[in-house]
Amino acid sequence: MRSRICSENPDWCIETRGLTRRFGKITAVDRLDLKVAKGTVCAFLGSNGAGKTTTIKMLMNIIFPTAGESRVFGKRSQDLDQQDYARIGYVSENQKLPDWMTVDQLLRFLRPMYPTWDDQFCDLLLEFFELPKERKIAQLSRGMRMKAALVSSLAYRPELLMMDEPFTGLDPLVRDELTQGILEMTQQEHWTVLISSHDIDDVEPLADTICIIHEAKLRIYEPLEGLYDRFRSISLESVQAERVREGAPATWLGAAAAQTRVSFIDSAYRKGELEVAVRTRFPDARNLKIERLTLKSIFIALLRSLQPNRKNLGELYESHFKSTP
Amino acid sequence: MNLILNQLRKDLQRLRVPLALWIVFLASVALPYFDLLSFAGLDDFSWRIYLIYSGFGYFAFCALITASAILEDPVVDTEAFWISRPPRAGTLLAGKACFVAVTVLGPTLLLLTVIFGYHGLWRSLMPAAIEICSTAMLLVSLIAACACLKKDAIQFMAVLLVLLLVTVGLQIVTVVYTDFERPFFDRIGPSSQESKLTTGETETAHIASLLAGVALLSLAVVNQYRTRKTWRSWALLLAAYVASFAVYRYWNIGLIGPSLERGIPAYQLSVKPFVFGIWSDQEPLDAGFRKRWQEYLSRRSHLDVEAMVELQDLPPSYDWKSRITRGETVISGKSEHLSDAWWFRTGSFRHGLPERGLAEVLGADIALLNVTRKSTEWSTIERSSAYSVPILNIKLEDRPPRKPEVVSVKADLAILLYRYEIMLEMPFAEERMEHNGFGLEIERIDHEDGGLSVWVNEYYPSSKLDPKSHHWRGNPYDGWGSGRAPPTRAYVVMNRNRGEAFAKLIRNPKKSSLRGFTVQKGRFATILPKGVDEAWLREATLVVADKLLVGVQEHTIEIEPFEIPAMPNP
Repeated sequence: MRSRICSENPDWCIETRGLTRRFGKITAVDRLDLKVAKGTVCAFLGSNGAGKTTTIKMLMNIIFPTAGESRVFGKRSQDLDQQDYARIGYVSENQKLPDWMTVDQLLRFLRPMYPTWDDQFCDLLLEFFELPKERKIAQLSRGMRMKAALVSSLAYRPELLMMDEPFTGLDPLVRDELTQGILEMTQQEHWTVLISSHDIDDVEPLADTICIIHEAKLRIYEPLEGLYDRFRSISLESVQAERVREGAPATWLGAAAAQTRVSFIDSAYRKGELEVAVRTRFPDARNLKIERLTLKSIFIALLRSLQPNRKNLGELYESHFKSTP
Repeated sequence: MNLILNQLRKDLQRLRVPLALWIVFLASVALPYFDLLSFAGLDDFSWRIYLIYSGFGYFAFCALITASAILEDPVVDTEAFWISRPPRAGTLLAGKACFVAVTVLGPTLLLLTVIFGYHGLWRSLMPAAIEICSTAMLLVSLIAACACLKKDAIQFMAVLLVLLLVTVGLQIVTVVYTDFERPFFDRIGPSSQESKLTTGETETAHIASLLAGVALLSLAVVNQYRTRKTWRSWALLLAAYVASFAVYRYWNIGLIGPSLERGIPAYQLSVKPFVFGIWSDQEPLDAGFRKRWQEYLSRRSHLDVEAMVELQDLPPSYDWKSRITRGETVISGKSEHLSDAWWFRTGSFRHGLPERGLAEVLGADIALLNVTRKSTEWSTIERSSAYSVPILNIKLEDRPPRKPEVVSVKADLAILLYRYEIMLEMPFAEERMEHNGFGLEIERIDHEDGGLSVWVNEYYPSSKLDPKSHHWRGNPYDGWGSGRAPPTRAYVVMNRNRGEAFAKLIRNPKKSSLRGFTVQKGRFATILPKGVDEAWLREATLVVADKLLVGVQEHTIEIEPFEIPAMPNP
């Protein structure tokens, strides 16, 4: 049992061990072990319903775990007190704001709650996000509301920033502004950030560490640079292209052959070893191309490998309409 | 503390419009109690509309303000704004509690203080405040419990509606069930002039029941805020109903009710239990009374057990009645409760004048006579010094004995001792008199065939409630029921020179209430027979006397085992 208890290592800002949450028969989060070091940005990725929001809510003690435990600042989430919450900034796509307040009223209401509230920084954020102080929150667009939520969660310089899908529904310009803003501030302030999203492109510039959760389980947890180093997109030409599916290594994801062309993603790339493996399998291989992958490509390749029987829309269309005489 | 005040400030700002309307509403409710606006011209219908307006309005505003404050920061909503912010559940709850105290309970208490102070009725302030504030707290805690279990107004209203229906249903059950079986020791007591301003519901069991409900509902609210374990909060909410019911049912310690006189006179209790046979074979004890139930009874075979109760050596100035408060029946070795609680209520069926004690207080040389409207032939009526108390009534259809069964009964008998007290004696010729905060006036005298009808108003001159008429206005259909009013008020037209007095007994004088303010309409007529003329009246005085409860004593009586005969199969 002792192994299920999180350590109180001061280097970890967030730590979970065996964190599990069930809603009836559905397991939303299954035995999640996660550590986020202080001063790092952790991107918490996963498709819809993967368990990201549930995990963040358990970390914030908004909902309670069925099993396991989570710690924030070395304290059990259930034991977080007023002082701890004053060190955490929380922004969620679904978070309700008091619509009847103006932005200014909201900030004045929040100000006494945070000993570290910085008026100058708050003004700076308002200026940066171009938020109208006198406008009621109900009258703000979705993007503006998210900016207001961000300002209200950043103005006290939180040590930990938890953001749950902060970019959902925002237009590209606003997303870019937010990403840039968060990136600049986290670098300057040395905040710890846990940002959940299924929009990979938005979090890629921010992340130091990547966590990928799928169907309630943690699948990937490693530094972004490690992922970049580990994953490669491979393509080559060979007359024996169809052999790519026969006994291919488990680390070759999404292996496909089209006439003489072979493509796959190597999830355990080591320079030199791959070339040997390819030459062994395809002695006539030519035009071998090895390319680095974006985080989005890595993410998609991983999810596809986890759902090998999943059909895309085209395949579904074909099976439904083309098969009937 | 700063965060609590911060929360309070935010809620006050958020609900400033409903709060402004609430203040206007409270002012409109208070106006009739001041000289600023006289309601003397309002008829009963208008007054009743006013009572509905004030009662319904109070509930509606309480619900609106309390629920809005809680739903502003919903407890069960995982996306609520407060939930990721530093003020924790305890701080938030304290903020909400302060808000409700400042906006709902505070103004209620302030309003009471102002009205009671304005009328100089300081002594009544505390019982009225306890009663009204505990009622308001129950209302607020019920609304708060519902609101903190739901995350939006529609769900809240649906739950509140269901719970209100449950509450009403349970109240009916409580009243029906407990009024038959629960002792009424602190429900009837001496009435002071000032106590008439309270609703008369300040019996301890009622308050204790309210407070039990408040405690458990508050616990549900606290639990919901602190743990957000909704199922447990629901359990506590439902437990509040059970606790209120149980407390009301079993509480029999009078703490708030009027204190009873300590000097209960000595007497010898004589109880002669007897068992009727099967009802259809027996002559009824009191044909007049039984006749009303003849049809009901004729459809069922009954077995009655009664006890003839007599208090020997009781001083003549005291009256008494007895009541079975609880009991146990053992039939063929099996313990059962008394079968038909209805009979406990009917145990106090009584006879007419002269009331024991009234003649004594009027004077030894006065013959107290009774007159009725139907028959103006007056006569003295002797009442028996003992009467029977029904103890057990077994419906044999429910339990047709196939073979003879042995029954034994043990019951608690409460003796309620009363004494008359003259509130005012006015020479008939004066037509109007005030004494000790109680006023009496002869409105008119109607000469009718066979005698005179004297119309009398009573009023309370110390009140400024209705300065024009000095009448206490209210809903005349409410009874004193559970109030502190005397069970019987006697109006006596008395001629000492001739040694004659004619009395009119008003049982359960009428009253009404407006959240703590009992108003009474004391207009009645007494009928005088032919023998009374103008010359008789010139020498007469008009006396008002209240019969006050001065003590209650409990005795246990046991009925020796007896046998129920076997019944043929119907």
